[in-house]
Amino acid sequence: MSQLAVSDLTVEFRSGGYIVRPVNQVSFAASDGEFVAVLGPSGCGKTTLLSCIAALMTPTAGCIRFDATEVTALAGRARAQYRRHTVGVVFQAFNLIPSLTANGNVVAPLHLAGVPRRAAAQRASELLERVGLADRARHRPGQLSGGQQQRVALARALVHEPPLIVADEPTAYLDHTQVEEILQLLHGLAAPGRMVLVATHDDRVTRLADQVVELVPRRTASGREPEGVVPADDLVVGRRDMARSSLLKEKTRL
Amino acid sequence: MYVSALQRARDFAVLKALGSSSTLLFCGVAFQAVVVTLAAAALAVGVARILKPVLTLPVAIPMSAYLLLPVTSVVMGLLASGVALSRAVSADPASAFAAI
Ligand SMILES: Nc1ncnc2c1ncn2[C@@H]1O[C@H](COP(=O)(O)OP(=O)(O)OP(=O)(O)O)[C@@H](O)[C@H]1O
Ligand SMILES: [Mg+2]
Repeated sequence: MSQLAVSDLTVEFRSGGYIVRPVNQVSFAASDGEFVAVLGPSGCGKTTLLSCIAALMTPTAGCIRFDATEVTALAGRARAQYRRHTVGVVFQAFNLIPSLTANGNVVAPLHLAGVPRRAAAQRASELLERVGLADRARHRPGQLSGGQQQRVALARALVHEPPLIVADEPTAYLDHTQVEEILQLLHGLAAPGRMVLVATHDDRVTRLADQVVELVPRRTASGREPEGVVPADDLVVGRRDMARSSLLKEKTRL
Repeated sequence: MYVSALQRARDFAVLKALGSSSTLLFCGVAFQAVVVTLAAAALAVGVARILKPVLTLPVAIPMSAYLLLPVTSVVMGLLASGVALSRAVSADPASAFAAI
């Protein structure tokens, strides 16, 4: 049973003489099997938070733990190993390598990890089948729809069966039916042995979530708190039932 | 290796986000540069051999030229891919999240 714990996480950027603090003392925990939505308006630090969890960025203060690993303390080889084996990342803009086929894109991280060619190709076709793209393995990203590209990206994120999937607005560039497909796949991945974190503005994601971590800009926080949700500095954390009821309340008010 | 698009800083960032180290990417690009330039050198040697009897001009190709060619071409190849090499090393994996 893996456990993710983010405590008092703060990230500051220096830009043009100002200090921007998009993530301010954020704390939350997520456990194995959970589907967690990280919610908040544009610019509130969702991408920054996910980058820290995926060890792509080092926070200014605070700590992230995944099981026994202190993610924020990892460096060098251990950091690369964590990115490779513990986290699978899915990007808003898919970020496939345009010169490689769907199969090649899934094979690439396997090769980088030293998996022999034949075994890697075999694994890639299994994964493409799992995301429903067995018949598109030889197509390049330019020949695939957005939803299909994102499914290839999902297959790529799964190559090492990571216990943690981190997706940054994975549905932002997709149309309605494609959004459903990707969400079903992502939701299905949140099963024993794995947890899934999705940053989003989309309430279709929130409805599926076991937990909603809401990042709220400080100045608007007091005005927007739904009943029963306790603000912890910049952060409002709600469990599934709470999120549901507060959404319902908002809907009935409208 | 996979890093065929030498100018693609984003691909490097993505590969790092997927767990590839700077060293691995550096070696990948360097290996590719060496393969490409060695292939070019081999082609040049082949063409020289074919052309030598055909040309009526007396062309003398010293043995040392055949030996020096691959060495210089590897060096040139690595220098020429210097930009790609430095991009591979300096790519920031967090930039992979940025929208296009
Ligand atoms: N490298 C950086 N240097 C300086 N400022 C940055 C950097 N990265 C992000 N920021 C700033 O931090 C804030 C949060 O950015 P972030 O991308 O995490 O927000 P977000 O919640 O993901 O927004 P969106 O919904 O638009 O993707 C923004 O104000 C942004 O301008
Ligand atoms: Mg973002």
